[in-house]
Amino acid sequence: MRGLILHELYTMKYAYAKNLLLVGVLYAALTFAMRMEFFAYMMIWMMGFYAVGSVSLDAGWSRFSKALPVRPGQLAGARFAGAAAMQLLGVAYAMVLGAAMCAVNGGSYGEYLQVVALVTAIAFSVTCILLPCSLKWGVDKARNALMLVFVAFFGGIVLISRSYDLSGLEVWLENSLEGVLAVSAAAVLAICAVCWRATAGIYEKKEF
Amino acid sequence: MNEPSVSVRNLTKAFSGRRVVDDLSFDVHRGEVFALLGHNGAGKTTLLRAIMGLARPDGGEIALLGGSPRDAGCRAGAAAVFEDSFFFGGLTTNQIERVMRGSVPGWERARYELLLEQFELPPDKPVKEFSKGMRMKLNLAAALARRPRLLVLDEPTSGLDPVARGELLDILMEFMQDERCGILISSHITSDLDQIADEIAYLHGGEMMFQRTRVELQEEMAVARCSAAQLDALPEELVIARRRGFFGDAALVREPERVRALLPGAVVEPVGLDEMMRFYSGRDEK
Repeated sequence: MRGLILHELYTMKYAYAKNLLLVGVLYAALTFAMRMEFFAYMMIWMMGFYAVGSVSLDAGWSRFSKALPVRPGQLAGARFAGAAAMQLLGVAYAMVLGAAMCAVNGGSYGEYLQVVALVTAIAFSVTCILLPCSLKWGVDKARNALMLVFVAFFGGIVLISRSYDLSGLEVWLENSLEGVLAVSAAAVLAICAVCWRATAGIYEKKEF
Repeated sequence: MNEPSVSVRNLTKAFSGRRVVDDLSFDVHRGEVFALLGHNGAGKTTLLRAIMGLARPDGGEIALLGGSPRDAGCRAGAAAVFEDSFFFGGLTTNQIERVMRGSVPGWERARYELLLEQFELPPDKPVKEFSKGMRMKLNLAAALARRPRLLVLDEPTSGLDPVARGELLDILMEFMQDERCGILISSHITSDLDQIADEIAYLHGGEMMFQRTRVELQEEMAVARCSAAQLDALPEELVIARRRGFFGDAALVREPERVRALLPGAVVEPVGLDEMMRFYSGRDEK
């Protein structure tokens, strides 16, 4: 399986290295120019989308690797490991950028890291869900479906906030962040396990 | 006991309601080169993919090296080269070596490097910059470095120039020096199969029209060239297919000696695989 993971990493490095360098520099510039942490978190999301996008790069490799003496679970595991590696890179980027921001602008690095952890949990969960969907229906369809889900979710929140005062929820979240993080970590593991199993099932049934 | 490397029984496969492989049965033995011959769309690739576990049969059974093709352990002894399955184009041969070393049991790095040297493939160039012949040699190097007992090759010489084809065929003959090994190869380039195949199965429309050794093909079939009236006089069971040409009629016939005796004025000569394919592909016009 080590070799399968290597293929994922080599593929993403070759396909995205230059682009990621540009994006990294741009996001850093925007973060400091606009004094917004948003772009630091955004990189964690972006890395996940890049990892999912790599599914469309290697139709030939999927055929080749399935004929190797490897199990569907290993093929799926390599995908998830590659995606996790990409998002960890995004986390490292966010941590370095955050440290620089806190040094320049002030602010609590500890609180910043907690938000990075929460964003990572959500972003990796989304990546885990997108991987089997992309393998099954194609990257574009999976991403479009996810956008619709996001629009529905955040649209719902906006509509609800017009009728109800949600400021209490925000306060609760700030006070309960550690508990929320612990639950998120467990949820990520569960989502990852379920999606890995689904991906292995897709590889098992996939025909070429 | 010489257990077959591949054993196929009553294999059937359909796509979108159309039968692509129809009730095929055959064995591939160790120490032999078994060739699947047929024009494009005959079902050769689908058959090979089913044998390597890349397609699920709708009916029938396949045994690959004594087990199921869906079992990763069984696939360890078989290496496949398909035209449309390959490494990501940005990888170099060195990176491919690391990928394969970490993926496949029994991988021999020294053998892979020796093969790259033999095939004159550069170590640091991305695969996408290779010519078609170079990519095929790379795929073959990656397959051979696993020391497989069975090589499954789908149209390995397709699109290659004669020199590259000759080199590839030499590599395959060298592989066959080990009598424990076998090759299952598909092609529509009959001149290649003439050089290396021990046994030939001809597929047409997903069905197996015949399965013979090369010697049996020469002894059991021939082309008879004469007038239409002369061919009409032949017993029906001797005529496999007929064709009308510019210079007269021709028929693919069984029992050449009997045909010679019945038609002393006809030219009855050995049939090449090329011409055999042309007869079979037009056999409905008989």
